[in-house]
Amino acid sequence: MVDVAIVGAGQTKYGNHQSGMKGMWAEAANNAFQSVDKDFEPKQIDEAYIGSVAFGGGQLGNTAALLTEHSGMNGIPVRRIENACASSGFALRDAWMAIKSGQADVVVAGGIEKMNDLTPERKRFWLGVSGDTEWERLAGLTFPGTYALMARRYFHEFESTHDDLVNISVKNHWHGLDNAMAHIRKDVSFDKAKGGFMVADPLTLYDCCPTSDGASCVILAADHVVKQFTDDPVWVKGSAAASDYLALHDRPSITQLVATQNAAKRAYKMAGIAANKIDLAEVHDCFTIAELLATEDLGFTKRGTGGKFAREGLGRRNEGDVCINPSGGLKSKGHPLGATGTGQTVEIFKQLRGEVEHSRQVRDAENALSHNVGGSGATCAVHVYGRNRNE
Amino acid sequence: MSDIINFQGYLILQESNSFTIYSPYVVDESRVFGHDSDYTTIAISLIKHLLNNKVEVLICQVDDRINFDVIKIATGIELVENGSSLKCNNDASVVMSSTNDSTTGLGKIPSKSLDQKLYQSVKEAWKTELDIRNISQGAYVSKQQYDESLSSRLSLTAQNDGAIIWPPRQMNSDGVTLSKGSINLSPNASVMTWTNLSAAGAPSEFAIRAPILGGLTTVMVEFSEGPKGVFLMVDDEERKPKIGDSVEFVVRMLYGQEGIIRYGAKARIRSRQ
Repeated sequence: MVDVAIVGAGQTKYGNHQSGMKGMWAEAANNAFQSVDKDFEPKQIDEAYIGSVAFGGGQLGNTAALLTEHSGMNGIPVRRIENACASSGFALRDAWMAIKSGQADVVVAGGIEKMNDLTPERKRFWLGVSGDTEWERLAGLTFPGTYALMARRYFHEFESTHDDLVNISVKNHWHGLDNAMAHIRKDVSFDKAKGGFMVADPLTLYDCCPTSDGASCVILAADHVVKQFTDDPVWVKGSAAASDYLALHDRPSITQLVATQNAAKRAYKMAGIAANKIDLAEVHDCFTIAELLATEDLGFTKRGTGGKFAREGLGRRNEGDVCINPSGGLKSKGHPLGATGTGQTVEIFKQLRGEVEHSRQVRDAENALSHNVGGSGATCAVHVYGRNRNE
Repeated sequence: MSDIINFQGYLILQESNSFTIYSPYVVDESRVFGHDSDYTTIAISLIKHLLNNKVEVLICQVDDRINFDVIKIATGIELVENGSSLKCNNDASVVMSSTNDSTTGLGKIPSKSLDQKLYQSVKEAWKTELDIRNISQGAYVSKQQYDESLSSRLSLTAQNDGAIIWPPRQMNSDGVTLSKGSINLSPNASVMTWTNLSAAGAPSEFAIRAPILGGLTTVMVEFSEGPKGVFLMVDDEERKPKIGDSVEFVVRMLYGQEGIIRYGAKARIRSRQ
């Protein structure tokens, strides 16, 4: 079966963007086009999959058609993919499947979200729209609350305290400090992160990712056309996804994400490598507790030891076996919902090709992983990447 | 005079021909409702208290200020031809009586003071929230969707399919269509975890009141029958939950939207390990 590689990837800076959706998408797409090593024309694209929650309702229907029309891709088959914060992780998987099926050779996967042009009153209506509306929302929960329930339960079940989450926050801010694409670029001390404003007890402001504007775009190609575009591709060695109960109360356990575990298991198997061969991972740290759980669910540390992993700084750049969130993660780089999944892939594409800022380059990285979660874990896409093609 | 009974955060007085349920709160010497209570919620508690004590509840007449549709679902009672009336008094109390006798004077019923400024702010917030123009966008639970699961929300009705399932679902994990609810969960459960969400993070349904109340407290609980659920804590009691606390469920106002009060079960701490 055909192998799939990434031959180009680009994004906007995350944060408060001056452009609207059309401008942001055009910028991300253009950055992706420009990143292709050899000649590339948007007309060579066969299909496009664009992830977006359509936060704010600015363009709820036919979003993808509007965006591709403004980026030289008009006329091709397009669609919007919606799976909450995992929208573009799933867009990437769908793009990968389109090539795997033999129906397409060059496919774009991307994502976008415009969040910060809304008034606070309007924004409030759109927060937490991807949680269980009927029961969780009417029990006063948006995602900070949902993840706070998970965090408190985790502390109860395992040897861990909020200090472990503070360590994750400090690490991710340090990783994002030199990332020109990151939303929040500041060094945060342990004491400052620990003493942050309480958002949802026990989670403080420094446990929560920001709401960001942003767009990201990745160009995938079938093995038989890769050489037209680059001699230095990043191969997608494993692609998997899974789902779980939407509401926490329907899950047997709230201190692990089964969708992550299942997607990771399949992605590793497809790639033919184990977790201990991953050099860097972009994981979905919408809240610090989400990263702690991910380090366990993705197999970087055993269940119940995520706190210790964070405490010992094992995910810090060039210090442990695996660098967790070299971009700064959602915490520092930012979280423009629909753009986050393919934004993780942009980071991995550049890290594996040695193209990020020198100060934050992960050394000798061969294999990488991206982990994109929808909401509190109802959906999850995991991808494994490598410098070398599967033989 | 009979003893005053403390039940579900309210005070119940039994006299020869009547039962009266009072809000415990007083502002400026006037008895007032707590932050999420009204005539309907205290009437529900009165009826539940009587049913718990095997008292036959026959009601033939209901004051307009009480939503009897909600009472019916929360308690299972129906209106009958001959029976007692449920009457609202202006002192945040409801009397169930078969006669027109006057009730006990206010002075004899214990009371707790409520901060006047807080009380007024919450009252104004409810008024704004219940404005017909208070509409939603983004996430939204329609009246139809709310009504569909109302018995599960108000009286904790669960499905019995070998295992007990709550909240209700259409199919089980094997793809078998489930029947509608058939048993009620016990109104007690154990706290598994909890949070207090700051006002800034509250869903839009609670956005007007959450800043006044200092945020929202939510618990995730496990019922003895097995199901788990998430619930708001009652708004008028300040005790912070702890994992392992035993909580009971009471019907209170959840939020108002498009001119309609949405009622639901909220948790109250019952005992601590």
